Amino acid sequence: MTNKYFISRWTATGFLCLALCVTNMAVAMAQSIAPTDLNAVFRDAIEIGQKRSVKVYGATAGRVDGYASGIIVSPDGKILTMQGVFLEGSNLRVGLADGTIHEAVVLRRNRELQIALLQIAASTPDYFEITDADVADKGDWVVALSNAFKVADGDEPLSVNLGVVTLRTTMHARLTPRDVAFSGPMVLIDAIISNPGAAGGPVVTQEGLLVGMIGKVINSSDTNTRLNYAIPTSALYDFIHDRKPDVAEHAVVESRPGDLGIHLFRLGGVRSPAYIDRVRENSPASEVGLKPDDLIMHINGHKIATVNDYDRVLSEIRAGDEVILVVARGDKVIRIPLIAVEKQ
Amino acid sequence: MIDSPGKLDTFLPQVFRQSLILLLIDLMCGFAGLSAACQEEDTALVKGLLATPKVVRRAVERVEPSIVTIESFGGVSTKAGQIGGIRRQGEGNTTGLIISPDGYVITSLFNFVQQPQRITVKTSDGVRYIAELRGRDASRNICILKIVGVDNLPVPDFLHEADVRVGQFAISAGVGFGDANVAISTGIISAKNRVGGRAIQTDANISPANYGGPLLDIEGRVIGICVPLSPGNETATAGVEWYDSGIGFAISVADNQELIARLKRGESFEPGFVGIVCAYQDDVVGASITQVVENSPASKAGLQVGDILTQIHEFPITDQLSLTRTLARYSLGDTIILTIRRDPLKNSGKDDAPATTGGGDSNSDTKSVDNPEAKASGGVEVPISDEEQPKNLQEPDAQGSSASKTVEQSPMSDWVELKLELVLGKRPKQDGK
Repeated sequence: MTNKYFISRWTATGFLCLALCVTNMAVAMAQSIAPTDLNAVFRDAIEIGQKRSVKVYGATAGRVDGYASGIIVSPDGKILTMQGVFLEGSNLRVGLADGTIHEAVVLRRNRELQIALLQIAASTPDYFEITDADVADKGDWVVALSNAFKVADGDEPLSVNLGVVTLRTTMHARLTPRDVAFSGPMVLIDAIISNPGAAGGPVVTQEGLLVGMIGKVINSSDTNTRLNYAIPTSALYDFIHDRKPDVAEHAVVESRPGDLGIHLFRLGGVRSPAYIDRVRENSPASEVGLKPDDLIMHINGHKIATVNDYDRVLSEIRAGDEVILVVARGDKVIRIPLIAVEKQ
Repeated sequence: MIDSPGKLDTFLPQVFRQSLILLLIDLMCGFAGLSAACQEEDTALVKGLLATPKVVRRAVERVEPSIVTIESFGGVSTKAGQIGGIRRQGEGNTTGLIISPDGYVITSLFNFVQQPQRITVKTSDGVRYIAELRGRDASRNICILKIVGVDNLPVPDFLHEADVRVGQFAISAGVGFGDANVAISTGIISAKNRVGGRAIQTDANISPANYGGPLLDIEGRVIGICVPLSPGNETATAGVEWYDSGIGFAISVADNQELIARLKRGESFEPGFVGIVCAYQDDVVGASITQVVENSPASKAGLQVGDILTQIHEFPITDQLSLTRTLARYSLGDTIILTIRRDPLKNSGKDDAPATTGGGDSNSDTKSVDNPEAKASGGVEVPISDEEQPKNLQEPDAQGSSASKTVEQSPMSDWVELKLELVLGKRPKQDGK
């Protein structure tokens, strides 16, 4: 009797054994699908990035470098890059990943984003499909590829940096005719890519999806530091499809400069904060009860750190505009809406 | 165990037990050992690496409610670009971190280099408060702000430096890019006990975008407050030139509770100055004093070249580094007690008491005019206050007066132990900076 039971026991466990073997095989198969080589986590992303990127060579002006990076955005040889002096000369060339060099022409430019669309007379199956979706969130791994400092010579692959997305934000740098800055959306990343020649290179996710294109070397006036950033794919999409971003053109409006009736306390030589010195009678300011010694901190969301900021922001206000002031009175912060009147 | 044939209730448990053993063996083979081991480990690592962004975001979300935006209004005028060769502060807002529910905020002193007339703090819920700048600690580049009318602000968890390991994940966070959204950078802890024992070092990006903001661990606990620092230079902008370089520093909050309590009360601290240079010496417990700056607290207290400095308070001194580290615990105006060992023969030579080394030291030429009277009384200048007069000096004077002038040294065992008290002074201005 004992013996009988003994056999049945092992038969039962035998079945279990078989079941486990099957499970193990399934697990093993599942593993072979997932990336298993730790050193290859970013390999695919880099391979994709290398094939779809180019080196751009052009004119040199003084000490300004005549080279940059770029990304291929169509099978018929359209290339996106950043603007720079290298675009100005007649000798604009593009080097593909296979080492071949092609002459290029500038098709189109965008001043706010400082990007340019080039055309070469070559077709390639390797290009980034530009969509209007925003790829990658804060904290996501990203790989940046570029020809920073022209380290990659001839057909050598581009330099690669690993980092994470720091922040998605929008930069409202003021554009002046002489000092062309940057204005638009950006993806800040924490890899140091703000270097000569890096502009135009791709920033891709671990899966090889395009996050954006490395921007020109610019300094943030907020931090007085160089920014490491990419122009997001959605902005590139708008440019390629010639969709104007929703930024209102500076329409010539027939309205008069606005005034609030505020005189600020002004001292030479220092960055005076915008303290009210006096308030004109029967003015918008007196109507809402603004007083001397009130400190104007914000106008319509713009920080007013100094009297200069006040002058600049006020100059853009027209008669009849609603103006929201944030004012410090003693240790209270108050929000005051008022309507600007025509400047006397 | 003996089988009880015919009973199902014993049969099943035994099958179960055997299966369990099999299952265990299978687990060991399949998941942890043998053929699949390496593959399994790699997969876990890859999965972990790819999961990091999610974990990082969760860590940042934990501390986000405690991060505040600091706005400054007015201040000294600066030309664009640089101040005296040092990068100027940007125009943007800066970062702070709530450390108490009743409105104390810690931040970096760097954020106020331009001495704004007004400061506001905007909490993460968008409410703006007028802030008052309380105490500052120049040597750690931190300061405390206070806002009023709050009693329920969220305070994050703080880690002690002892619980931080070199190599662990670190995340820096700040709002300095002009976006209320917190900007982050990831890296690791590079070193502990840096810059005279004051700072924790990281390779995450540290810059004006996050000075005053937290450096976090992967669970969102605060390792320290991001600051610019530079060894040997204690101005508020020193170290800014290393922004985003992979060399960044943070000051522990948990380990500086006493200091922070004093900063909250409005006390300010500047680094203190002793005026000695010392060196490691073989076979000696302590550090050998190789230079005493003329007219410094050290010379006034009667410290001499050749003395062996063994302790400051209870902290042992072995070389210049341990001296710097220990002094970092104290600041201008603090009284410290130095334990030294001195050759009894040395005190005799009052006339050539080596309290004044002058010459090679660039620090000594600021205000040192040799006072002959002071020299006659053993290199001890007339002190500013009577309390600073080192009384302990009298004792060895009496002892050693009979010994003759000689370059010979007494055996170390004969050296006398002295305790000197001195008040930390102001660091002399360095030339050319």
